[in-house]
Amino acid sequence: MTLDFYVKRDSWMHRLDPRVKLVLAVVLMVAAMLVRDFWLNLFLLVGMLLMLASAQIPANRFQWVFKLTVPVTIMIVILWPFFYHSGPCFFYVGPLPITLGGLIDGVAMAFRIISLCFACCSLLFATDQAKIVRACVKLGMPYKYGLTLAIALRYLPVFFGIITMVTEAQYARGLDIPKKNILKKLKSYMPILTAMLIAGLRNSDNMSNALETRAFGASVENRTYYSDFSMHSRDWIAIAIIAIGMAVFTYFFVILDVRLPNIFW
Amino acid sequence: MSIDATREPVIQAIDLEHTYDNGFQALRGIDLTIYKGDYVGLIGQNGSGKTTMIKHFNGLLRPTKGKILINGADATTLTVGKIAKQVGFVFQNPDHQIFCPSVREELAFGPKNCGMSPGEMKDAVEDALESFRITEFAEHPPAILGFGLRRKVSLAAVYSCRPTVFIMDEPTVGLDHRSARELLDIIGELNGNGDTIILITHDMRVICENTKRGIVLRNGKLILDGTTREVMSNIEVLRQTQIRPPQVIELSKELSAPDVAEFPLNVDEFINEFIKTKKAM
Ligand SMILES: Nc1ncnc2c1ncn2[C@@H]1O[C@H](COP(=O)(O)OP(=O)(O)O)[C@@H](O)[C@H]1O
Ligand SMILES: [Mg+2]
Repeated sequence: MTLDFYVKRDSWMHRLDPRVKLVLAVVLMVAAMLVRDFWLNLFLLVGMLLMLASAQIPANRFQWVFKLTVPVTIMIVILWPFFYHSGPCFFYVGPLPITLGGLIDGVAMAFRIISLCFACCSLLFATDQAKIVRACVKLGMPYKYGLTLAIALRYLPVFFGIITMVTEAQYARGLDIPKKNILKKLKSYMPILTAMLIAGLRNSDNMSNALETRAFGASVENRTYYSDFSMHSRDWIAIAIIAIGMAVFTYFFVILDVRLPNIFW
Repeated sequence: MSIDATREPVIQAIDLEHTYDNGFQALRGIDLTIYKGDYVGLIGQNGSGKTTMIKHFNGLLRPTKGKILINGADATTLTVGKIAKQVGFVFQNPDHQIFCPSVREELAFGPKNCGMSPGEMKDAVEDALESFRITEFAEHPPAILGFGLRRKVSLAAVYSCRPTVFIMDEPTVGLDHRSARELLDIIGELNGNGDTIILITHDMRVICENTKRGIVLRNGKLILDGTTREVMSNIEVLRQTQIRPPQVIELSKELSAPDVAEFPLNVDEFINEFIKTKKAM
């Protein structure tokens, strides 16, 4: 099991400064959270998909995100019309009217969830994890926290590997995980969890020793970095485009409060 | 090794193949019979399929083709927990199984799972403590013992389930010479009592000085199977898999080509052989 989302390519997005991509991802996430309108949501989602496609992110990553969101989005589309009512009514469920407006708003909600996921992924798919952490540090996160984050990300696959081995080791001693009874099931996971915890603590102890023997913490002020990056003109252009996009959006949809025409009813 | 009708087979692999989910075929048709009382050294480069093969012997992996019989029963009909009573499996890293507040409880975990009665369990735990010479640490928390002791606890914890076959993945790695020797002595005692041992190790001296039978895997295929002496005298084949027998074997090969039957496996045997040859001259 690997948890590295990064797809190594040489696209315009991959070449952007990670800090710019971090900003872009945050802006897209905020947009996805603020926008309620059906058409704007659709526009945002399609825009993001086009952006990722132009960054040579392969189709299977898109599928993966969609699959991940399917359970939540289906739930929302089904439940939303029960709580939001507008426009023509289809039928009643008890006292609750099921309306076209509710259905459309539910679909818009689903788009928002998917957009949120893709906003995160726009960063993760096109940026090396180490670079994301470097970007955070360059933006002012203390190096110690940056390193902690990097190590945590780096060790996730290892951690899952250890889970497998610990589970196998306990199975081999006759541990049986009952399928039905949840309480018993939880209890029988204890040997696995405890062994994991002990192995994890031992690992972290070794790791901190290894870091210290390699002079971690010796000179925090003037440390240097193996891979460094700086803003190029393309990064400034990207920042400008993001800023203009935000300004236009805020002007029309927040200040002027423009409503897109309702063509549904 | 051809099938020996006079001995009792405990584990049989019949045309065993295993292909992982990602399409990689790690085992390519293995036919192998392990007999009761065998002391097998399993040899092969990293990635040759040793771990994949032995995980079939305790049911952690299921064959994608072929069959595994454990004491005559098809392994696919048994759960890992059931097999644990017959085949004990010691993993490479002792820290992957230690979780109890005391050594005694650690050793009781397996027997509990196997459904032993309290009386049986007590006997089994005491026997394990004694056999692995860790009685004095019975009340210690195993997680903070030294590595050599944790290793012993992990073996004893498998032993306490009372299996008759022991599979050990690199049990001597990370141990100093004395602890390794002590552990191998204990394993030798188990074998002396009639238990079957399958030992994975990269240490050819451990193989030569302890095991009775050698099995060599390469790229998921069995390329050598015979007495340790036969296997070790096959220097050319071993070389192909990047294995170098101990120097004493290479030396005797250089000096002459003695019959396999009198091929020396260790320094003592070499000296005896050498003196005999010299007297004859
Ligand atoms: N879970 C797995 N998925 C895919 N391939 C695997 C898996 N486990 C092992 N392999 C591959 O199978 C081969 C044999 O591995 P293994 O049995 O661990 O060899 P050994 O124990 O002899 O070093 C290796 O090439 C390894 O990469
Ligand atoms: Mg292995």
